[in-house]
Amino acid sequence: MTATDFFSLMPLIIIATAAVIVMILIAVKRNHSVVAGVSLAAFALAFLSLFRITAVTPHTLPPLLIIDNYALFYMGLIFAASFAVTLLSYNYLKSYNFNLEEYYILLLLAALGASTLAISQHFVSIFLGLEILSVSLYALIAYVRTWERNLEAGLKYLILAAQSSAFLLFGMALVYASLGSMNINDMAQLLSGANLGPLALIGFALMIVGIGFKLAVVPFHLWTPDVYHGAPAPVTAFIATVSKGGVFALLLRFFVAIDIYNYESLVIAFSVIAIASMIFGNVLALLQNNVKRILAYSSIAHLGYLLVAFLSGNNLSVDAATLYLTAYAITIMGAFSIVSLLSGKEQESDKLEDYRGLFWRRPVLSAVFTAMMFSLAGIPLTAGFIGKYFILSAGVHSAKWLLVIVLVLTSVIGLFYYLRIVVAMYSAPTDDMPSQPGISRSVSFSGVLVLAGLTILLVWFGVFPQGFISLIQNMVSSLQDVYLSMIV
Amino acid sequence: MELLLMLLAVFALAALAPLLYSFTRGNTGWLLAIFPFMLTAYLLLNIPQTMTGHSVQFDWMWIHGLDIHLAFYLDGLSLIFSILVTGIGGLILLFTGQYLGNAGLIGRFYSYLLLFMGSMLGLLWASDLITLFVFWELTSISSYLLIGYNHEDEQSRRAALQALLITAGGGLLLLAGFLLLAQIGGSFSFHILRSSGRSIQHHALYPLILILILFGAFTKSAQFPFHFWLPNAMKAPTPVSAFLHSATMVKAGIYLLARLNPVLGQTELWHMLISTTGAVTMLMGAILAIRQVDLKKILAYSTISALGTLVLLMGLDTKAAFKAALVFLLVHSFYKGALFMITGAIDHSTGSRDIRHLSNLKKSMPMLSVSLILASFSLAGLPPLLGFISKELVYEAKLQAPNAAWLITSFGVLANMLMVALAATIVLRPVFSGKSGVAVKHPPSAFLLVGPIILSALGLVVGLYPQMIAASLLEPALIAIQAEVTTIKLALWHGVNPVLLLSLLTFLGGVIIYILTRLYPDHFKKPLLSQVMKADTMYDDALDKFLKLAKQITLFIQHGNLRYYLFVTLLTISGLLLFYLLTEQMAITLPVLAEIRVSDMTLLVLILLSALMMVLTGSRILAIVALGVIGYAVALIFFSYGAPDLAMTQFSIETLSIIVFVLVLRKLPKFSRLSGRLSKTRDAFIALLLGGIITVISFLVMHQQPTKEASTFFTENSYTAAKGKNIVNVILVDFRALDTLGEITVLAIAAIGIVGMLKLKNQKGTSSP
Repeated sequence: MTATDFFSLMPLIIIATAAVIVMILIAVKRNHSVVAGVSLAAFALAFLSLFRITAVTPHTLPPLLIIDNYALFYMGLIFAASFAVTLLSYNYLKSYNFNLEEYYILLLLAALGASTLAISQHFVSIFLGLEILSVSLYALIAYVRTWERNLEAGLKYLILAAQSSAFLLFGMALVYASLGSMNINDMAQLLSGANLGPLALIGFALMIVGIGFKLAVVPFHLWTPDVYHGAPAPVTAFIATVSKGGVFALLLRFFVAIDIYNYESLVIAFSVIAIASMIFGNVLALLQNNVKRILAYSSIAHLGYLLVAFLSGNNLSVDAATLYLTAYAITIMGAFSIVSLLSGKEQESDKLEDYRGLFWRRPVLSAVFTAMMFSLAGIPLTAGFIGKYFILSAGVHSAKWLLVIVLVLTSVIGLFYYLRIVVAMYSAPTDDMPSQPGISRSVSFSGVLVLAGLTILLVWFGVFPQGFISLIQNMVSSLQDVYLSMIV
Repeated sequence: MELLLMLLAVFALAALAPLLYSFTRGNTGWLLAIFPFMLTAYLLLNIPQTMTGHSVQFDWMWIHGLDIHLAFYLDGLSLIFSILVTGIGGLILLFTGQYLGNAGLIGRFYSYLLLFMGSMLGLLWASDLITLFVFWELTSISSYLLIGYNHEDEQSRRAALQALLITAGGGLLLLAGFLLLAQIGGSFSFHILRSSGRSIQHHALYPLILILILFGAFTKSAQFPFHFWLPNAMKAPTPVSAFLHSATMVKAGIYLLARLNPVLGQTELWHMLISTTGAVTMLMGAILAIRQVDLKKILAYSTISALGTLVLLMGLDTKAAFKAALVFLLVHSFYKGALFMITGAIDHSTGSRDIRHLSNLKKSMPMLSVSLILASFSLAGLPPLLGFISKELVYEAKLQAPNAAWLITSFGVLANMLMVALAATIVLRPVFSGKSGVAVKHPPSAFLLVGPIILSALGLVVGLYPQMIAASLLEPALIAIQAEVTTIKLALWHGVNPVLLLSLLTFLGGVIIYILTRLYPDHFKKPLLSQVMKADTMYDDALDKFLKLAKQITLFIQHGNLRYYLFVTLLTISGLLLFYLLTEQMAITLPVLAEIRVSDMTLLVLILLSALMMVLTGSRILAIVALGVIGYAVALIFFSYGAPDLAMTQFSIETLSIIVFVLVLRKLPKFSRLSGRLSKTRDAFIALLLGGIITVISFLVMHQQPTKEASTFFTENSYTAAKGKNIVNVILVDFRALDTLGEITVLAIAAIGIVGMLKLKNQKGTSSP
């Protein structure tokens, strides 16, 4: 390995080192604040290091890794989201009195796994990254062991994730058996539009199962509501942003490189998944009375929207998907921040009932939450609208009518449950309302920091999207060029 | 730039309104009203410019690369609508100050009203589809906030949500339509789209685009079958009903149709869809209006009828129709705005809006009665009011309709007869009847009167001197729609012609209907065509059924049982794989049993038997042992095929996991058989299915030529690259040097972790002695 190799891996090295430092700190003396501070510093450093690395991109570390602008962008997303999650977690965990410090090791490792996915171009590193991410998540989800629901969520995730990993691995083996390579670029060259053998096709199908599970798309979504509901709110935010972001980065890189659009049977499989996710995600969210579950189902639908962008397969699709993912990450992080800030000790404020009349007690939080809901619903002047607009354009450009129509119709359904939350917040408070300890608690400085940052981003993105769009187009064009050179 | 600044000023004022209210209290209304009046003046000053066909423009590239602009312009069409918005808006603000008094959170109410005004102006001034859409949705949101203003009232909340769902839902379809339109038209800008109108209409997607856009327009303008949200929206305070749900916002759909007419109009489909919807809505609204007793409900349904008329005129798509529509637009805003405010004033003074209880208003509120009479005459279309001229023009347009002129005209005559009867209903008894009704608590104050009087007087003045609006407002607007210069002559008297005869017929019919309603009041209160007309209950039913369906799906898909989740996932995977196996061309040859070595065969049988035992046994220990046997047997197979290192790894992992299993075993609850026969059969089925599929796939793999092996790389490169003859040494020391470093690091890190855990144990020991 050369110096450039090390240099380009700097963010991952920072995160990994931080995990070790935290372990040493724990071995020496446990201190929640110090550990959280180290983690925050690590994420911030890793994020800043990305700017230096732009000087050497694209840089390949054959055969496993590639550090291009696309990877940098997704890593940036991952580190920024992890930073926010760390702040929230610090706030959230403060009130617990068991061992909190290991939580941050797991958080760092999970972020490391997700970033590995973003820079992988080889099955070995993909699987490694995915497992680092998953194993850390098993423990993170079940971290608050005292709740029954928390344990249940962790166990369900463990078993279902293990199952999906098995299929992913089997699929990779079949693809390797068929094509003789595990490197994405080699595969792309070997295939270059040629017919897939049955074995490779089945291999890819099984890989879709594995990836589909991590993205929680129908029919591999079953874990989502239970895990979103059962996991501590900051962890849920982490799953919704970092975990899904990393896996989606991989999905785009991999399937765009092998030019999936040539293989109709795979496109059909993804289309069915996208349509089912949009429909079921939105329909199932309608009746939930728990905000975390509503957001869980809505996340299924949003991943369906993202797949529409991906399936459009034109020069807009990577831009559109990345834009939407960024907008979604900002929004959902904001939503879960509020859930987490309102939650008290041993008691999550996640029932819709808890939000009834919230506006009259916490006007600022409610206003921010409303903005987040509007963004999720895709209402103009929020980031969500810009994202949805791009996805619709991508779909329209490629004449994917069925997908576009399902997207529009299901978005209308989506409007209903997002507004339900908003209506609940603005309705009159009743006196016999159970008072949640978390709701009356004042929001700590770190909470304010996260929320203010996210809200500014949300509106800035919604009103002056130009800067974000240029940034994303510049960053992800590296992936697009590969694809464009193929279709020309 | 002026346009943008003015918009920003309105929004800024909206943001500051609550603050202002906390200082000025009861004076806030008229203070805030100054600004809209200034805007109106600005717009009026722009008339000369629009008369020459020029327009004020502003254009700012919002998103580069996608050709999305924030672009505004002011031409004849947007001018006429904007004057209504600012003018009536100002009067409404004056009115609100008195009407709502100092109750509750009025500051917010003002700010919502101004927010709406800004959004509506943005919508009208937009010269770009996306800009229009953004403001379109903003008007829906501000309407939601205003309808739900009485948030303590369950009904208000429901109505607000319903209105938002319908209009914002329509808005999303509108966006889809806009995107398609821009896709084939090449731009979002109205100017460019206008020039490519013909090519758009011949495109295969034209019908889809039109239908999507019509969804948006019809939901916003409360056309059948989406009309029901409008009467429910009347739960809002009366100024809101007057402003949004009668004079301005609901006209946005009409505005959109007029604006897009040069692009999408002049086709059979346009004509058919829009005029049919308009005609049905016009008649239905009128029929439903006559059946109400609440003054506000009457006005709500008659508004629907008027919106239907406007949509119908848009659908007729002739010059006469547009002329009639523009005049009718003005008239309707004048008299309907006045009537709503009068209703509000009456309600404010007497506490009732029921026409059966109101009486003798001529005594108690003389000024208000005069304006009520004037506005109602306009509603009925009686001379010499502007309503008469507009009705004549509408009849003329209907008579000249390209298709089914007589049918449309008779629909129109019937609807107008009902309007005459309606006017009589709201005027005769409440104003003139001498019977004692609800007592007047306090006479309406000046600010409550200003709005209605100005608006109803406008109907009279403009009716007497119609030419004053012809050249200044109507011609530029018509140019904006039709792109050709036309002169408009308006007059009260046209001589005896078919139109005049129709007017007479309308008046007579209206009087007869009024007399009938007085003679047989009960007959008119019976539910009529309730199943067809009550789209409101249909909305409820549909929402209900949909939610029930959602509940069933939820219970079916998501009942929380992990085993069931696994079942669903595995079944899907099986389905997916089966689909590919069946659709792909492939050859499968079964392995010849005789070729299998005896040793392998023995191992395979052992694996099979252990697997069976593991599934069937009732003892956990036995199951774990069986699992271990399978693992060891697989390791032996590795070994027999010349992979001792792999076999060794497998052995150690297998041993380790069995040890862990046994350790955990102690902690588990007592073993019991929880699953019934059915679920066991189900599980067996899915296991066999997936197992079978995987077996077939394994057979497929055997066809595959072995790919290049990793070992060749090492044999080729170990001497040339690493200068070593012992390949194993070279691999360990050179090729995998970093791996070795990594392994050592892992051990070190594990040690650190263990230290942390050991300390944890000590800590516990000390804390709980």
